Amino acid sequence: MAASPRRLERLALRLLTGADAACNRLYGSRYNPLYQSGTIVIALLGVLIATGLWLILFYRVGAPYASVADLASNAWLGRWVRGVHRYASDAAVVFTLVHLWRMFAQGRSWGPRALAWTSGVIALGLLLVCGLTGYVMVWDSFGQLVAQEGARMLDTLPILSEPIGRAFTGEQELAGAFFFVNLFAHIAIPLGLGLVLWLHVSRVARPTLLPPRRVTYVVVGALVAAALLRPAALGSAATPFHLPESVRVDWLYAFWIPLVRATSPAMALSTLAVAVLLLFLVPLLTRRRAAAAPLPSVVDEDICTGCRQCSLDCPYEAISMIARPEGGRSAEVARVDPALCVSCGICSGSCAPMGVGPPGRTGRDQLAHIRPFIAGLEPGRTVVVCCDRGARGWRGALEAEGAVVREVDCAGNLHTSVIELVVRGGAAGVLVIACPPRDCWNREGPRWLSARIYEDREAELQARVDRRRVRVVSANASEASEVLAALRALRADVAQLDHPQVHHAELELVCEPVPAEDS
Amino acid sequence: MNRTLRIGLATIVVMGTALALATASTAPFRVNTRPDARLRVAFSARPERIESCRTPSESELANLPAHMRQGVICEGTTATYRLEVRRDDSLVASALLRGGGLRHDRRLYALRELSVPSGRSTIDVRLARVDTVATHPARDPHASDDHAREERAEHGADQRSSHDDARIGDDAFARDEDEHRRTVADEVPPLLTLRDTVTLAPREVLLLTYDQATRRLRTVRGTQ
Repeated sequence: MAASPRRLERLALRLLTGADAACNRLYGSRYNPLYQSGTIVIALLGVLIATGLWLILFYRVGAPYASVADLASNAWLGRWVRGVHRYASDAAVVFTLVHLWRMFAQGRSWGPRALAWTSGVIALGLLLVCGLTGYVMVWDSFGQLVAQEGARMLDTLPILSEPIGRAFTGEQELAGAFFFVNLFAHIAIPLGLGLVLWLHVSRVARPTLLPPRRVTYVVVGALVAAALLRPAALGSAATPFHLPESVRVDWLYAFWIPLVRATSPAMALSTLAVAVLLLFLVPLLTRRRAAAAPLPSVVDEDICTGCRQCSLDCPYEAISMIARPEGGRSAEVARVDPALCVSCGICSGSCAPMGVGPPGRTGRDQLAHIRPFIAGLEPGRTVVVCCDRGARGWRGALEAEGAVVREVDCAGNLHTSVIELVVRGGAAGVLVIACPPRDCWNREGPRWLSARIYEDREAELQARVDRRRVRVVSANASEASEVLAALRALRADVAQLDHPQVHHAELELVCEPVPAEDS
Repeated sequence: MNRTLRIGLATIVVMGTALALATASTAPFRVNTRPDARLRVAFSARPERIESCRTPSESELANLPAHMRQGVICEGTTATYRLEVRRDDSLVASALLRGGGLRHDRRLYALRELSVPSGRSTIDVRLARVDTVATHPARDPHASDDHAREERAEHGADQRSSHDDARIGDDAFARDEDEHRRTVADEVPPLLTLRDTVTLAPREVLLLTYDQATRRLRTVRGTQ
């Protein structure tokens, strides 16, 4: 059953990788909007709140259409603000879908991440419902269409003894209470959305909530420009006694209306219900079988020095420090919560004495795996250590250039001792290729890797290693030319250095424990 | 790719995307391609009760708490109606209507949208009760006041004479009667008809509805 979702995941990943590469070429990985999809949605919600507060000043529940028409006719007062409000809501849907696509394609939807997935789907639903209430507020031909077709769908549910649709037949004038309740929903739903978003990021450490300022400025600037160049449409006033030939609809929110009209309200509602159900079932459908599921990290308490670094570095707050039960080399010892651990392995790279990590992927395991590789390494070659996800895009090109490629699960897991061992093994240079920082499947891998190599973060690359021979770059699978350029640059630099020496001495693996009184 | 070209391309893509978004946000959708007019039958009404009523015995009343004693006890359901809409004497819709709710004891409603060619046409609407309603004389709204008074007096006299505790006072009976009268007054008549000749513009909606105040069917147009 899980085979089809996996195929779909692979297809989604192929498309995503290509789109990422195109955007990286234009905007660079730091400002790639596809990488920033989640944070852009938050920024857009901020824009929606700011513009919404302005618009509400002019909205009259007793005369909804007239008040919006007044606003739409006044360029200085708010026509463009209304446009920004509308287009920001559309952009929020688009970026939410991009974010959803990314998480699905990268298999980040199951296990401990299921909560984030589920809350994300709920947030998307709330966003859509909130947007629809916004359109009904205007009460133009589109708002009326949304209300009528939505009522037709809801009326298929055996909830009310009289259909909701009767409210829009023209038997009686639509009461102001209807618009008041609608306005209340339009304001209250974002409050609920805030709560859901809090839940969404509750299992990640140091959540990044906003995109880089430059991205925010560009997104908001583009929305303002679009609102000025193409003002948001206001349809004719809603009337129950005339059928409009054509209505200007927002397809991002009203995608379901053609379905209701082409089939039947019950069929449309069933189709939507199935789609929503499938979205909620994604964590189950994409869940790896027990044999294929990566195991959560474990702590070797005999090695743990209680330095807290793994706990600090863990991107999912899955590692906590507890008092050591029977005393020992430190007052505290790390403890992994398997329910929170996504097996990203970041802790493997953060532990100097290599006492923590997923089974088979701890620092010590990495050293054990690299030794045969070093034994066969021809001195003077350039070694490229890269994430296996990205490597498939450019491994061949690198090997054709004469580099020796070593794939790892995630460059963020990489223990600096492995780099040291490769350099001591006679490599002319080591090029570590991580995923772009905002595209790390394990959230903070490239960030911690760079800090360990360049900023002496704990489990740092030892001072004895010639840093001129080590370089960290980031690239995704489609960026072969960037990777080749980085390889050539490193080669040119190490060509200026002496011929590398081969040392086979064992490495010292130490980490200073935190003094007991600080704990 | 040089920097200027990259920035130019990046700007074009951003603005292109924003304008594409704006276009998708206000794209025309042809919802009513045909110029037909629409007959919208929409109303709700209280259906008549089909009841079997009886006068409770004194011992029955004596066993009930004072506030639950009724002069006439009625049990039953609500009537079913057939709605028919004809345009120029040809049937365009026919439906059986019952009260809402699981026990069909709520108001009945009709909500139908019927596409008809625009232009002049004669519309006939008929709402007719299907079931036969048997009414207890005490609950017959058309019974004369004298008859009701006689009934009440008879009941009152009997009750007063037999058992003081179990008696139903004139006031309680009158309240019961009033409530019943109000309910009956709300009920839709057993037969309603409407015949109207109208000229419908393309895509115009003619509402066919029931006026609770006059207890008649009527048409409503946008200009009204």
